[in-house]
Amino acid sequence: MPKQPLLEINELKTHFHTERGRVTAVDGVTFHVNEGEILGVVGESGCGKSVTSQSILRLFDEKRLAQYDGEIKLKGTNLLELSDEKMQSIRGNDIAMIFQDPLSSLNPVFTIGHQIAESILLHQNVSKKEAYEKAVEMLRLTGIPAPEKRVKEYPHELSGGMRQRVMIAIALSCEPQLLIADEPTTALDVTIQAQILDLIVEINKKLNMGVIFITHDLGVVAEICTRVVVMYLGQIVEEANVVDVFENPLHPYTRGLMKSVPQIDGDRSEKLHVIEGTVPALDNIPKGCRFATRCPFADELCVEKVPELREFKNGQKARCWHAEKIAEEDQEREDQYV
Amino acid sequence: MSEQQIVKIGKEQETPLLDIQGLKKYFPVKGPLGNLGGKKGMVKAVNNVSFQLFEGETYGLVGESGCGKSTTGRTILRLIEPTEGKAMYKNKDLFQLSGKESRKMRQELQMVFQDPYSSLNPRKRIGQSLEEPLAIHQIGNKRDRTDLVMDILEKVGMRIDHYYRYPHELSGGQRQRIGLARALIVNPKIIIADEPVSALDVSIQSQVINLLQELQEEMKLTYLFIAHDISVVRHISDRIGVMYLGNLVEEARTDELVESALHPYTQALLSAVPLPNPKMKKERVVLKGELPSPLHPPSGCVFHTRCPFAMDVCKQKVPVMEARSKDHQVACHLYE
Amino acid sequence: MGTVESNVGLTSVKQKLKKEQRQLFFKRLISNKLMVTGGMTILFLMIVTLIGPFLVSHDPYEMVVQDRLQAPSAEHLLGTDEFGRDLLSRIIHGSKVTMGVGFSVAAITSLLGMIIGLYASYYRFLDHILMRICDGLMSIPAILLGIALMAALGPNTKNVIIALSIVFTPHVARVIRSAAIVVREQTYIEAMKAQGASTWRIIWGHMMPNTISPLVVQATFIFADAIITEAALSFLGAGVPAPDPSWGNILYDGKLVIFNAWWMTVFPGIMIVLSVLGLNLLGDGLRDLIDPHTNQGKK
Repeated sequence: MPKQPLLEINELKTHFHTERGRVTAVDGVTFHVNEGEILGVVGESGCGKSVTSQSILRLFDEKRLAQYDGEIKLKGTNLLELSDEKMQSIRGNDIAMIFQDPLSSLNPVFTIGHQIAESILLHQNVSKKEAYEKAVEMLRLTGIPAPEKRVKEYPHELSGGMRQRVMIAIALSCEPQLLIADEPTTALDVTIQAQILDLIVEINKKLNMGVIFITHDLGVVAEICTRVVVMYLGQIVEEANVVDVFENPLHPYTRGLMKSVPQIDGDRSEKLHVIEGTVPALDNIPKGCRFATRCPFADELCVEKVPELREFKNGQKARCWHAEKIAEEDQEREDQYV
Repeated sequence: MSEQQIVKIGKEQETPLLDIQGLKKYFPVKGPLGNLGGKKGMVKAVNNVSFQLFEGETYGLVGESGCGKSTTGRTILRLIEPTEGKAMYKNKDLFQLSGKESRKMRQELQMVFQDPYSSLNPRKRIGQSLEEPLAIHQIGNKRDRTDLVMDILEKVGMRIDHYYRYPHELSGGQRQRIGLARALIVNPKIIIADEPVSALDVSIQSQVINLLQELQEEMKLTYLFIAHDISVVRHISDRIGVMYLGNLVEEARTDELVESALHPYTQALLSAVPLPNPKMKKERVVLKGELPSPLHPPSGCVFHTRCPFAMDVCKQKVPVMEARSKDHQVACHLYE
Repeated sequence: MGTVESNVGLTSVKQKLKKEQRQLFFKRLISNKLMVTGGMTILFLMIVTLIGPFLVSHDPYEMVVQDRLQAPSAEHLLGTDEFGRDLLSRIIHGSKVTMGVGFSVAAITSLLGMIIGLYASYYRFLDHILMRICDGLMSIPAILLGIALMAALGPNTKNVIIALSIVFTPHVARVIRSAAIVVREQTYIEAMKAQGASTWRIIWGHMMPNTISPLVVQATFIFADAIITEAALSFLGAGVPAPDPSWGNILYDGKLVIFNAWWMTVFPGIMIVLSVLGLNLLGDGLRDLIDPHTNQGKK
């Protein structure tokens, strides 16, 4: 019997009500996260990667703003059917989240020890003293030097990297089964980013928890993720193991994305590859393939008909009519070089 | 490309277009009582930085946040007044110019900013924002200005009907193109670009980088390219200077710097860049700890607190920038 | 490039865009019911102020002693005061005085407050001086300061306007200053400096247009405040001098006969409440309209 995944998302749709009418920011997203796995969710701004992660925790105002369809199953329980109170106990306890900007995620008027202890007290039946001890322990786990001293400090006394470690400490304080990291290193310098990435991998191994790592940086994905989901305009366009995505990308968007990033060991004399145009607005979604307006391989079929997410070898999936053809051509070109 | 490089190397024997000498910028830090408490100390944001810009080249200034690279760029344009130093441009010291002369000089030295969202006035149509520099420098009449704006819109890859749009109707990449157009419309010689692509999405970033390169060739521009992303800097720059805590620690031709970095900080910076290749797990030079407070910088070499090769001398003596080979200078005691 | 052709294209694009923006703006406008109510009330009062005096048949200054303190009737719709003057006529003529004072004060304080606020935000040394003066003025209760100024200047309508403008300018200056400080830190101001723009151009060409929205909102509230304060001053006898009618001094007259002639207190009172409520609703609505944080449904 195949093991049940930790988190299973089926045909998730998130709609927003706006002045200009209803828009669907996430449109039929299906993926899963296993225990102990780091899943990378990649895409540019507006692709719906952050909305997806926030939908998992149901963070949008459902009375006025948002509406969800589909299923989000955490170990078999559909989160979308839970009451608000039940959902409250899941947030922070079973699923924790860390954000891009650690400064605005921390309350400036409380010490960091207080803030970690608070989230422990919220979900666990322990005394205040125990919670504080646990806070020190969590800070030690995240590699903060002299945690006994640091618990008494305020967020502004810490550097960006330290604050992100504190955020991770808060997230881990209730031993969640799933950690959602929404661009946690984007605001940090590369040398600090390297430290935080090492920390996330280490914690993932130690606690065997599932991690959804949302980012726009393909380098980060290659470094820490086991599987990757690529999103474009509210849909998944490609899903595969990390090696397959980088060695044999099937969707033209994934390929374009990879080629357009300047590489530290790339050829400088060559112009950077460019994905023409811009992402269409959510209220102006193309009729056929959503990437057709910017795709160099697009033909009539792409403009007219919506492609399905199809499965190829190794469980790699891509939403493209011409995936095989493009891969073949690519192979031929490579053969010529050799 | 190779021909162009030869031309550039040839030019380096000539006088530089812009010569920054011993630039310092210290910010006073006030005590908890503001003016009453007196000065608490000085933040040495830029400490004795010297470099040259040669005509037609791109000089990349790279470093992490708080290293003083943006302050350096702003000081050259005197958006921040320098504490000490010289900036020689066309036999004149930019820092000695009067307010009026300095304003006039800004026609030749322009700036492109990082944040495409706040760098355009939200109340002005794109056309108005682009005509403004022409009005400031009194170029042409109303009709000429409109034509110039149309031309520049085309040059940066926008449509003419963007003339009547407001900034909030444009995407980040489009706004950055407008920011570029605003700098280029007065026909400048030098562009100081402060993190011009770091706020943009990956696919848009490459569009803007290519545009910067095309325009450089077409308009014979010289770039001072300031960024934290060493991969981007490497792609666009001919020479790179690396800054750490207000100091320039290494400077070399791009390929030389990336292939044989000498300063331990440059090495760490290069090795921290995540590679988009899951099969290649490289050995990282992991830096210990965090950036020290610029209010109390370490004695001697400012990097010694995090340096894996720190020696006793590093704590006592400030290393000086010395040439190790042609076009490769480094400030580090390891090579003395 | 065909300039003629492109210009034709541009004009049509411009028109289309303007139409789109107008439609969206209108949609937002009418979706705010309270603001529409406030706006209609003020519009009604404006119309009354401007054309009302031509419609009423009685002279507001004509005293008919035998008709004194008459209750509302067909002849005198809102009754008469203790000198037998027609109350409807006095209230309508009074609205000219009261609304006029309110409007003038709002206009003068907007102008002065804008100049003070903008320059204070731009020059640090001016900031210290101007804001301390404003703090000083704001620390004295508005009515008290108004009475003191009226005592110094002498009671007439012009002086009421001057006194109230002095009282309320610091309020506008504070709002403009804090809005302008936010604008000053925006990159586009730095970009203008990098372009070599003069201080005049930066302040009036770039910072000023970005403070107009909070100014309009603040001016609406000042309008309302000025109406109340003028009424209070007149009620205390330090405002618009008799026999000129203003809502405040009609109330003052009515105070003495409040148990015999309720209409003299109730009707001017209703007018003050209506105008102040209308202006406040309008101000709140305008604030919602220009503040993107309160009206955007989407992320």
